[in-house]
Amino acid sequence: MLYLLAPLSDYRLVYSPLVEAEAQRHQKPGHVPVAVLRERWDWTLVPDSDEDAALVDTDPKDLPVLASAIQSGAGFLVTGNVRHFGAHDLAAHGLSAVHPGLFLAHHCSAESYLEVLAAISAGRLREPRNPRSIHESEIAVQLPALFDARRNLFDSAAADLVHEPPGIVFRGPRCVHCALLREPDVDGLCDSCRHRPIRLTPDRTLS
Amino acid sequence: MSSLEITPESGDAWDDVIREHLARGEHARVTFEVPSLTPAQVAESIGVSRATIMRRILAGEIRTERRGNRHRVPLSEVERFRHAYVREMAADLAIDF
Repeated sequence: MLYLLAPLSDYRLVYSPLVEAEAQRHQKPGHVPVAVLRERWDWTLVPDSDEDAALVDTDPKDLPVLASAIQSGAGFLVTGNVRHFGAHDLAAHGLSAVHPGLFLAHHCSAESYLEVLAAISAGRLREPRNPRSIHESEIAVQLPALFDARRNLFDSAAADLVHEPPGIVFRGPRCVHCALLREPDVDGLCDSCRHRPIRLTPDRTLS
Repeated sequence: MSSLEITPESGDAWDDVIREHLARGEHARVTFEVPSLTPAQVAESIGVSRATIMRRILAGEIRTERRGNRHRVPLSEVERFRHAYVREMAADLAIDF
């Protein structure tokens, strides 16, 4: 979803060889290797970090991931394991770790979301095969914050469709909505974004 | 010499600016063009490399207008290609996703 929504949204994705190797290790047999998809779709690879960044409270096995994100100048580290990344390390480098569902809830429009669901369902040979069922099953389970933000698009979507959400979905000094360093709360929002009507439809700039 | 860019969103202020220049004895030359992006700007906007965009242009998958020996991609074509690109990628990823 992150990659499918990127051309329609306001963010750019990069990842490192180490992340790619990890992703490939978790792929099901028969799936196209991530490296092949990267080359086919021109996804951007940034180098693994060649320096030992002074990191103190991040899970040791995720240190290279954070170090590479810092080195590449990323503003957000989008991960299903936000809790692995330490608050001190993130604050020291102006980076926020955020669950992909929460990130997408703030960085894709309803229009783009519907467009991508329709595009996925058009190519699907297995269930779920229509936008609504993809939204209510796969998105609800894997990206609960995105499901929640867009539940009004398919008005039958009930609260109990959201499975157990991840315990920690955000950590860091950069607001998930405005991307500014404004000491956001645990839901990722800074005071300024919280107290104004939030448009979940970021403008896309063309130049 | 100075220049002024006018878009459909510019309002009416450009009218006075031109009159002011004409009153000073200057001439104005007006050209009209379809808004467009360079291949590098298209690449940046969609999040791919310029090489990918050039490959698609040379394959005839992105329509361009030529300015001298340079390609320019009309904004309407950028948007058509953006959505086609997402559909194409979704079809490719649909099995794995």
